[in-house]
Amino acid sequence: MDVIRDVLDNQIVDRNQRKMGKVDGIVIELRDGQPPRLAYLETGATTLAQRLHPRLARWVAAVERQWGAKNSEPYRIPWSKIRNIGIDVEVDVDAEQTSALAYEQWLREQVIKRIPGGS
Amino acid sequence: MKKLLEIALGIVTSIGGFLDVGAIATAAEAGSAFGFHLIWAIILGTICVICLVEMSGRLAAVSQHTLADAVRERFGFNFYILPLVAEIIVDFLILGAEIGGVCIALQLVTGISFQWWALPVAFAIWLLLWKGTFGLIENGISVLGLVTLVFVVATFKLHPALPDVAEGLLPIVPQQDTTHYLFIAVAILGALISPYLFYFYSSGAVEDKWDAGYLGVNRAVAGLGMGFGSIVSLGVLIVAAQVLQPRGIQVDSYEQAALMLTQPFGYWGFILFAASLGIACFGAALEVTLDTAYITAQAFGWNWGENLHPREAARFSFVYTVFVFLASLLMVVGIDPLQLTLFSMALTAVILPIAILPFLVLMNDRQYVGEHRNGWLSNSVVIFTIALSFVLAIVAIPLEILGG
Amino acid sequence: MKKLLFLGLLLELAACSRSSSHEKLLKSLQTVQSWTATAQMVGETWQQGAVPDAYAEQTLKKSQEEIARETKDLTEPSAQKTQQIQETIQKLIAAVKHRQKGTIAAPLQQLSTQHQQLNTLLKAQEKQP
Repeated sequence: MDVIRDVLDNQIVDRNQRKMGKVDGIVIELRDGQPPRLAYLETGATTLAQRLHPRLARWVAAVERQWGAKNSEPYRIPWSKIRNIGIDVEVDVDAEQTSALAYEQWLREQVIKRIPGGS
Repeated sequence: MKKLLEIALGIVTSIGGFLDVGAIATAAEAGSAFGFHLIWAIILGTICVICLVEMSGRLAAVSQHTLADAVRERFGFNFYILPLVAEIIVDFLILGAEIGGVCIALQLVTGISFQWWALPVAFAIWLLLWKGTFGLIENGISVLGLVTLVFVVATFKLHPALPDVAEGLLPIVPQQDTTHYLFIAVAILGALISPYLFYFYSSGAVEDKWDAGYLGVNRAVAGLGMGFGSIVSLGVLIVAAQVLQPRGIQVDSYEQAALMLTQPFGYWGFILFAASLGIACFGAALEVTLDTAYITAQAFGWNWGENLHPREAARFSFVYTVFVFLASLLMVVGIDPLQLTLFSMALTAVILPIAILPFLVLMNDRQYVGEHRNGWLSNSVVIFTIALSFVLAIVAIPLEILGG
Repeated sequence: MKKLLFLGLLLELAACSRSSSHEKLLKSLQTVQSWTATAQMVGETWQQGAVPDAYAEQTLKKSQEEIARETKDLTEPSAQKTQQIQETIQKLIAAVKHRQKGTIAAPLQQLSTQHQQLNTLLKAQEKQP
């Protein structure tokens, strides 16, 4: 498997095929005397911004701490939770229970449901 | 039988959906200012758009990826951010122009200034997206769009001299008004080869759950639908050339273009022009708004889909809600709709390389499309047209702006 | 040598600005011509009942405004002609305002004559290098 080509930037779906973000980053664990290990997938705006520029990442984090769901931590999925890597990366979690959808949920509750026809 | 029905429906929606504010404005301007001399630009743009629409349907059917998904995956986010931002900016201006087109149509009929219509029109667009389904939007609005065939009927009624029309197939640059000629050529190409069309089409194919069995349908719909659709565009150009140019009317605003059908059809001609403009722009505005929400949601991996209830795709619904009202503000403040249209169409031509070249790479990548890769012909057609549009745009836009 | 080059450059610039002012004049005249033709067609189609009253009035007013804007950049004898055209359009507007189809024929005839005279002026300007 080619991690950058086949995993990075792919769609992540949960066990119910619910879209929960893209693979914005991959965390590799370095271990003494042993080969490095693929540890986590990361998804979140801060990780994405970090890839463009560190300053942008700080800025995005500051905005996210202030507004909306007030969640600036990228969501990490342990490599062991990956069920299948195909067109999408399928992971064995329930997206609605994770902070990956913090902003989706916040917008749904605070904005969308308050517009007539949105609930 | 089911396939045939789908092809027929696809062709109808393509004809109905072909015209938008850009196609009408650029064709009217071209015909009134240069007679038949810019017909070649419509033909060239149509051939290119047929290739590109076919490709985006093929990509979706074979790889199950929308264009935006595939570009981010293949080239990474650090590249994808460029076409994404460029496309959002251009979509914003185009949406403003499409809303302007609907508002002008209402102004023509009611006499109430277009600025007053901007917010109600934006609200109507939003309401359809909020309540409607993809099928309703794609099929319903496009079937209404068949009213634009009135331009083809008018062409037959006006009996244009065929040798003169045929001469327009050759790109001959006139001695006078050269920069304006080139600028309009760029605007025509930009209006026909709109990137929002491919992003939208591939998202639609994924929403409709196409697979490799749809390749034939896709080819027929792209070729015949876009081909017939461009006949409507040609109709606008020819009618403008037959009615407005001999009188010396050069279209500088939509009020002038509105006169072009009164000669063949009288009062009904005026009403049909307003109806064509209004419906075509309304349909296009729906598409552009959805397109922006699609590519944003796909860029970040959010839930998306016009068939989902807004609460199931909160961020997606939020994006189109905010976007459509923001774009309507361009009209509220009173920017001239025709100038905005021409400018945003020319700007589209500038961003074409960055939007289309990664797409071409994907269409030649076995990883995505396997044995259904592009042939050399479609590759060459697209590269040639994109390069030509880009070079013309870089030359003509600064000159046009300097020339006032 | 340098001085010669400089002189050449100056001449070039002068020629450029002169031709561009001539081009500007041509462009203004063309715009006036196009809007005069528009006003005429609006008047005729209104007379035939082929366009709504509100549209006709608005578009005639717009033609008048556009022509007035270009008139500022014009010199005699063109400026005088465009002045007359504006006055005639004013008569068209009055006829549309009062919904009197009978009274629009005379100013329409007048506008048609003035349009032809303007075209003659335009042709003469176009012939100048």
